[in-house]
Amino acid sequence: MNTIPTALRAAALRETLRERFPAAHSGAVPRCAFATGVPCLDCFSIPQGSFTEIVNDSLLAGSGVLLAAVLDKARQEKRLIGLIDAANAFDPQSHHASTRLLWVRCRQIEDALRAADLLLRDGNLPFVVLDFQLCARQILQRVPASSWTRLGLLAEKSGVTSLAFTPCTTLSCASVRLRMEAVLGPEISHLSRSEITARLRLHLDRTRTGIMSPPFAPPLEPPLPAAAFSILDGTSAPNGHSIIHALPLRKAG
Amino acid sequence: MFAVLLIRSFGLHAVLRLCSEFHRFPVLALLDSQAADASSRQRGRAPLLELTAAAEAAGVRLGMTASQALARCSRLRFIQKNCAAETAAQEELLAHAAHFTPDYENTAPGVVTLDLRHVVQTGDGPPTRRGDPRAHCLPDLLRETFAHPLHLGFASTPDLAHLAAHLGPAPDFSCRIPPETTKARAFLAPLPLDVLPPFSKEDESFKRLRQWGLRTLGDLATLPRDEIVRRLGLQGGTLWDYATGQNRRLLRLVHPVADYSQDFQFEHPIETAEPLFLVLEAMIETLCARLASAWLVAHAMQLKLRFENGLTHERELRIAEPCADSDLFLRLLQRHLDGFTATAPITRVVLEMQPAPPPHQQTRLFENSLRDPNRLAETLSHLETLLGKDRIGVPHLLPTRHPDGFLVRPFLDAVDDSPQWRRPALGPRREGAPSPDSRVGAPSPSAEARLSLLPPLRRFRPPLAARVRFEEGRPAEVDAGAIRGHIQHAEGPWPLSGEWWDTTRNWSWQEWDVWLESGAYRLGQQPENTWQLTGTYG
Repeated sequence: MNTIPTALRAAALRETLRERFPAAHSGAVPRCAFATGVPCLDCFSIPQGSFTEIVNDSLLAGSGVLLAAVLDKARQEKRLIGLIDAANAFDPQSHHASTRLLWVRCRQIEDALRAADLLLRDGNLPFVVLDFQLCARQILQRVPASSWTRLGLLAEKSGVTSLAFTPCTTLSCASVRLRMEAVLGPEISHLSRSEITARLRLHLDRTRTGIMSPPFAPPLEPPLPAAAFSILDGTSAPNGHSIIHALPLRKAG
Repeated sequence: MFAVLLIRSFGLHAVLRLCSEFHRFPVLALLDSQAADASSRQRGRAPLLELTAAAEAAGVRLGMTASQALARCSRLRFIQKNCAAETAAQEELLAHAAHFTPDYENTAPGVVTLDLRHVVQTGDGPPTRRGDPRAHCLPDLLRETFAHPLHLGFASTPDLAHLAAHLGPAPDFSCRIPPETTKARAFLAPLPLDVLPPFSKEDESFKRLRQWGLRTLGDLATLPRDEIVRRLGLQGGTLWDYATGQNRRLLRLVHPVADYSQDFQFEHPIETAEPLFLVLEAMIETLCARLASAWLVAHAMQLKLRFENGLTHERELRIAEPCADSDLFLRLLQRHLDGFTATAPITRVVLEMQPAPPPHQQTRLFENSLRDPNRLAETLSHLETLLGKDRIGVPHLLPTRHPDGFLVRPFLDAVDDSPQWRRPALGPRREGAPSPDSRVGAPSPSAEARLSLLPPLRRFRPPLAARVRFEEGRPAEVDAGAIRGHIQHAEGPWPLSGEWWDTTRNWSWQEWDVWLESGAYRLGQQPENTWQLTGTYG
């Protein structure tokens, strides 16, 4: 991963510039990290009042599991959260019911952008999730960068923390960009969500926050299943399904 | 501070405000309404009830009969007492009082007492309304905003204010009696006994005072109270207290009938938004003023439009934090109507406010955790206009096993977390979970616990039509356009059915969970043997 050292070097360079030219950065509002409650996200210190993009090139990366974990944590902590569902793909039957979840079902990407604009302007919901995962990449990439920049400025102004799931690198305004790695296989049908969440792997792709974050999610402490399998080494599981890696998950990081 | 609004010669005023032709005759007297039905002889014996100032100047006095009055002044015209007109005039006076305070008393015909203690600030200058940025003089406001001549009196007690209203001879005179007792007695001394409350004039004590030769309140105040009580009883003591400004009583407050709705029928059906907004703006202003006068706020408003073709459009617009802000309600209506297209011209509009007490304390953690609840309500209204009503809100599962069975409830109606019925899990079966066949109709042991065992699904709406090739009774290859490939792993089938008791609505199909190289998908088979990709896992 060549991008990670680059990102770190960029952060170090910004820090140096900030020290040498403080007047040029006097208007910058110091940001603190926003806690989603999901360890694999919080270890990257998601900045409050900004956009964080999570890029999932593959449907096997587990972005839906991560989204469910974020929503579930918000439900447990009784936080207001907005979900802008750009592809109208959210399945209420797959998630815990929450009266603090504002679900915005969009027909197209333009609707999602307008909805995001309104909710970020409003500022009443401190946390807004945008799900572009099932949107067509070609259409997403046709969205002008100025639209994302405006949304980024709105988020900064209103202090709303935004998390966007995208199928490809899209948000030019993202303060933090994370990339998910495809790790899921058929064995997830035998795992609980918490176990699947513990398997997720996120890489830091870009950061503009100045907050030094680890390039990878640190090792987690998930509840180990009785039989934790992976598709990685292709061995067979005792129950007849294909797959599995023999390493315990806590060593996977 | 209390204020009294007084209309002198109220019966005459009530008729004159309706019949403008009587203004040509300044010399007028009011007769009882029964006198008009009596014979001319009896009519001549009818006493005069009220007089105009011109009639008094012509030598006519109250208590004279009609014949006697005509003998004094041949130009005198008689007006019949009109109870309906008096009722209407009294209601107008009460509405005027309600505009200034919610606490007011319908004291007598033509007399309304206002309790201004909570709405007026006093000082060295004239009294002003609290929160009035221009500090308008309240007596001027009371006079200028009422279309008829008004006598005003201000004092520290209701009865003292009533006497103060009688002090000035000019129609636009307003008087303020100082609270000190000695000064109040000096103020009241020249007033005649006639200004004592109407209930006392027919009283025996009141007649006795006249027989003693007392003419003014000052005459009465010079007598010792104990001696008056000894001779006239408790009623005499009350009259003495009244004359000296020491009588204190509670107001019998008016509680107007709560009607916070407005109905407007257009003379000609309208086709554009501008005239509709003009009417709605006036309605909202009126309703918000009514709410504010009753110290209430609104938590929702209901709009009803009737069209020329007989159809109607009804919509309830809610706000998160109750208020009586007319601008906010108007903006909400504008947001709602921006995205509304009528099928026919509008003939009638009805607007109703749902009143609520002002929010004094935090009652629900959810509502008060918002920075600006009303702004959120406005934003939600805007989003509804943009996307549609069923596309924004809180997802709520329907009590059905039908896949994708849910509805979207308004966000502001959402209640605290409560256990909801959940359908049994539809995802891949975990080891130890019930068999696929047993899922149909099988009760879920713990919906919440089972949810945590399933990977979440992202649905394709609408589902993608697919072609499936089977090998050995299991799907081996799927082709749904952009998603196609060899199935690496499949689990199922999961038969589903529901509403078997209704032949028109019953349904059944089966589902498979399949793994392709690109991801995990849910594959559904309709009874007609058509296949669909309904969603993707992970």
